[in-house]
Amino acid sequence: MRKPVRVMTGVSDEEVSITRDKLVKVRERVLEAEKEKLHLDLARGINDEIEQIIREEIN
Amino acid sequence: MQIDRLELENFRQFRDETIAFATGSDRNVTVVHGANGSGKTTLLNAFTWLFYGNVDFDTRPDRLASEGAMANAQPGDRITVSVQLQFEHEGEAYIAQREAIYEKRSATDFDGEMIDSEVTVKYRNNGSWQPRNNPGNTLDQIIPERLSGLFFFDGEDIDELAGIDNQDRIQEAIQNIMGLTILERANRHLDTVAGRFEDEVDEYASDELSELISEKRAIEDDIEEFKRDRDDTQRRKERIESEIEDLEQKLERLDESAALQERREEYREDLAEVEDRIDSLDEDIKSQISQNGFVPLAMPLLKETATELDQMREEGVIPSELSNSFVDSLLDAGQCICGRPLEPGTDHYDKVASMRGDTVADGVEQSAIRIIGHLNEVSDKESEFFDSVDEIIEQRKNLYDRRDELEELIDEVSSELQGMNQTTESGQSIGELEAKREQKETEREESISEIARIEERIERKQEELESLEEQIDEQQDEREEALLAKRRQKAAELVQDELEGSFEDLKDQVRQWSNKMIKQTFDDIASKDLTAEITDDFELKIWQDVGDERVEVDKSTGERQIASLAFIGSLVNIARERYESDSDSEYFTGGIYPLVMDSPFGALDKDHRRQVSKVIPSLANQVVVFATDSQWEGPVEEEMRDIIGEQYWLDFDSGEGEGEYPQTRIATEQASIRGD
Repeated sequence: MRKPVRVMTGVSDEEVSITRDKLVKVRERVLEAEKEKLHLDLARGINDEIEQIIREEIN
Repeated sequence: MQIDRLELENFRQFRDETIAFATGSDRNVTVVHGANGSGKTTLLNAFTWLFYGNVDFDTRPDRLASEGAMANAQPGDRITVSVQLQFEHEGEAYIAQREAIYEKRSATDFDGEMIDSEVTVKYRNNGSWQPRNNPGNTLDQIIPERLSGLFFFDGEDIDELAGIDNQDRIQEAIQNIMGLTILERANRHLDTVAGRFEDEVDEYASDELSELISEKRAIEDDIEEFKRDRDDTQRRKERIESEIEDLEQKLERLDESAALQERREEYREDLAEVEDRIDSLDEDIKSQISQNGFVPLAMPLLKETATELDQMREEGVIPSELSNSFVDSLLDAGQCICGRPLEPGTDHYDKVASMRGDTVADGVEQSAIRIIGHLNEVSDKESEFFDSVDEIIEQRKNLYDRRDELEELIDEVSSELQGMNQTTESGQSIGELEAKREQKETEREESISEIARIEERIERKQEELESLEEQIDEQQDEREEALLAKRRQKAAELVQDELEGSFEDLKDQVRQWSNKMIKQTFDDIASKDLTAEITDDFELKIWQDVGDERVEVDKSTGERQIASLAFIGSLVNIARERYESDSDSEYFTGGIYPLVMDSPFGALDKDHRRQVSKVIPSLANQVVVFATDSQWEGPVEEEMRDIIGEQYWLDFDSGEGEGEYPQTRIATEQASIRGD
């Protein structure tokens, strides 16, 4: 008799965890990126930059 | 930021003028006196043109170049318009300059056509001036354009700030200067990015993995069941074999059947040997085919090639004349293909020359004959291959015949045994024992077939399982991607939650600071029974105490101006306090800003002017005020006299005479001011 295996399909919040240090780092870098573009009415490319920051910090 | 010196060249009516600003801590006010139309608003525009390239003139908005300079120029001449500001910012000295070149197109052209424009920013670094690579950006970071209306302040627009419909502008101004904008933006952008990662999760996470795993389990269950069946059948077969062995032992023990049973054993041994030999021959055939099987396949092409070559040789196509003509061409050219000179009479020449003629032709023809010979050898190989395989097949056929013969003999033994009626100790006849043995033999054969069928099914299921496992591996990889995207989504959402919390806290705090500061400033300026307030919705309101009640004031122009001045002054003051405090905020550091105000006292009555004059200089480190004499004289002058660091008068000449054009000179002493 095989052991019952947990079948994982959709991804739930419980399956992911992020350390406090990582969150602090993401926050710092996001605010830094925003600060650099603060003088612009339209912060062009900021979403891509934030996405990249998160990709780099959470991997 | 501290502004030190402004230089104007051909900027509207200013031909070549300079203002040095008051920078002392006690005397921080610079006053520029000027009649209406003398150039006060132009001075304010000089700042916005330099910083952002924008101007806002009521008259002749397109005319930036000095009319006098353009009039004196010839068509085709170029006039430089320039505004330069020297200032300090965060401990560094800067020189910012915007320059535009205008070309006069015709004798009557007083506007000119702008043909070039440039902004430069230099900063002092280790004793020398270094250019900033992105000057526009640098200036916008020092005083963001969105805040310029607060620091380069036009008294004519002052009413708008306290207007009922300007709540958004008030909120934006407060948020900007207090660092709330950065939080609000980060919050919004993180929301977008979290959405992107959520899409990525959806893209990777699917139910397919679950379906595949279920399918895999079903197949594993099937395989287990087949294996159980196979093992059962195997055990049944072993049982049958054991029964056959028992029956045969009985037959061996009986005198009547012993000889037949013994003979059958011999036949069986022979049969086993024959079958071994058949197997061995099968292996030989396989080996022959793998080693030489290509020969018959390639044979038609090889034969065709050999025939063609032979035909070409016979027709004299091989060797061609090319060899001789090529050698001749080398000798004629006097150079060998190796690069050495070929001079008649030298050894090398003779050697190359000797390559002509029969020797070369023979060589090629010999090669052709050798190739044809090799091809024919392959043809021989084909015959050998077929002979060899035919021989093995013949041997195998003989063995097949022998096998059939032995099987028949074994059957005959069985038939003979089944026909024997002698009774054994157990009461069964030899015939019955043999019949039973035969029946068991059939059952054994059936078991073997059954096992083979089950093995085949197992094999098929194993193949399906392997394919599924590959698909599952791929899905597992996608699932890893989905988990990573989910972590990123969660990180974006958690940081967003935090910043949202920070935003709400700071917003509330900022509203309280602003409210307190504006209330205090307004109290100092306005009548005792009036109070100003920034509401929860960031609306600037003015209240009046009437008896025990507080009613909102139907704002008069004067009160609106006071409220607006209080508001701007308060924000500048808060920014300065935040900058000077030790607060270690990652999103707001405050800043020191000058206040440059054009006609701020315009619509105020005398009492209010006095109060405003008292308060405004204390709100900013540096204040520059442009005012007419009528605005200045009296209470404003009385209150500000002792804190004036620099004072200028705009000496305007309307240039109405022949060959004269409007011009304003900036004087450090009061002359006779034309008009008011």
